[in-house]
Amino acid sequence: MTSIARTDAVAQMGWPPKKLLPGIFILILFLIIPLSLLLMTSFWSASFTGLKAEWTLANYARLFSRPVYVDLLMKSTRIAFVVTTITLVVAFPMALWIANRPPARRMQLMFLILIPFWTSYVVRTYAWIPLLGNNGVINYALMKTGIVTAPLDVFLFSQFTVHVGLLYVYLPYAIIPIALSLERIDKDLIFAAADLGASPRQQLMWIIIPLALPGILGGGIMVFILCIGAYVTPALLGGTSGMMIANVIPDMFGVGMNWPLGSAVSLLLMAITMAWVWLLGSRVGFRSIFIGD
Amino acid sequence: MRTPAGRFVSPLGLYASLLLVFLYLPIITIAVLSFHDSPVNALPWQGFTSRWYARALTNPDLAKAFLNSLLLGMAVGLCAAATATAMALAFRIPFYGKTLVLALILMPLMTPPLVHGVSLVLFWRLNGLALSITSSVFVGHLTFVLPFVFLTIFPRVHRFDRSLEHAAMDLGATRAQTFWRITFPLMRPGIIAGGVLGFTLSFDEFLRTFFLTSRELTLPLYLWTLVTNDLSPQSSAVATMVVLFSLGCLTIWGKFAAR
Repeated sequence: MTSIARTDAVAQMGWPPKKLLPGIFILILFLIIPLSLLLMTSFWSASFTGLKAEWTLANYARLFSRPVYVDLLMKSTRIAFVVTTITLVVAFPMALWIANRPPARRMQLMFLILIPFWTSYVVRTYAWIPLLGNNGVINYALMKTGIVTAPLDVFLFSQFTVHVGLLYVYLPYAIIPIALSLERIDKDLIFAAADLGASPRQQLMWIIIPLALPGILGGGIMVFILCIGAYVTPALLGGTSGMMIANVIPDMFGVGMNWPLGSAVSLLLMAITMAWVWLLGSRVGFRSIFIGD
Repeated sequence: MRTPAGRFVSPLGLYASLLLVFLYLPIITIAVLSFHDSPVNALPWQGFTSRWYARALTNPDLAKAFLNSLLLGMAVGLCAAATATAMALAFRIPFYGKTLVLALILMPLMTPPLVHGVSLVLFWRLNGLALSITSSVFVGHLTFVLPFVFLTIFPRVHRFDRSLEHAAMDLGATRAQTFWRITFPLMRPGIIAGGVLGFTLSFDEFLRTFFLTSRELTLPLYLWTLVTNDLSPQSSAVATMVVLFSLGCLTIWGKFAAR
């Protein structure tokens, strides 16, 4: 395959094929142009109808002068960072275990991880409410066993719950890419390291983790992006203390009717996301993360 | 389970089992509570009933939302599979700007769903268009599932032996014949797996739809109104059925993705 690709490379290096056009058209028209509009309107003024085409820096001035938005952005970034880190740490041993099962068993386990991945995150977030609520399963069990006498209300509607909810919802997004990149590691490399006297810990740090880096970073990118813009989890499980930036943006486009401010906040969210993607992606290259060759 | 060390369960195996419990406990809880004969979705257990399923299955709003999601998902899956297949075929040969095009294809993955939703609403409003399932929601879903479908199909196209195509052409097959008799059949499992993935991602999508629809609801949006307004176990019954439906889709996907 590689040899054919190489001969092709010599034979015909040309313009992008026409087959790409429908896809490029869709992506430019419905992603790149809308994002550019977001950038543009973040420099427009607000009006009763939503926005007015008058250039201004007022939105950014307002955004930075009122700590509420900056604070929420920082808080969302912090939550996303903490959840991503914990998710990767929790996912790695699981992925390692799956990758080392015999192939048939590995398929079954991957299937078990894929079921939650394929199930609506609204459903999976909602599933925590009857578990954590005042009359929920966990409080019920604690009271039945006599550990507590009154239901604990710390479980639901706190920042802690948001962390747990996000970890739960996005865990498969980390396990799957890490397991796939662990599977691809040539076992002979590990045997060779062991033969040469590397301890299991050294094998892990010098062979396994570096070779699984594309999967780890891919998982880290996906989980962070989904967490920083999370709406459903903080809305259902967070209460007021667990609110994140995504929970205030819809109002700016709806009843609050301050589209330019909403655009500016969304754009900052996008900027933080891009910075994270660049930070993680530039280490090994996006091609190895997402395509794996 | 035996490990090379001879112990019955390795620490890693125990850890993995606990994590699986963590992943499935909430899902099992709602499945159990969906049969709970109680006006509220909580314990203590007061008896078994299937009336929440009966209520959900005779609920016309739910049926409409399900149908909306089903048709939308099918349209998105089909269009995404066709577009992504064309792109995957194009990616077999080198061309100028390939890295840039790949970055463009991956861009929807890098955009937080909320930002994508908001930016498309802006695009629609500035152009004076009306939000609807068939226009704004469809387009929003199609854009974001494209990279997922592409990444499912691409490895398959990349892997197969191109000398089969060269042989067919050498033997006098036209380009079209080669495509339909050789290339397409070889790619078909990947295309179907990609299409089913696109369908499911669209079927489960919430946040973009939340911004991009006007009045019509998809299943996740309907479930959202149920979860935020209705305290009864009916929401658990609907959620359980959604899980079972996703399981069905995953099984179909698995059949083709494993080939």
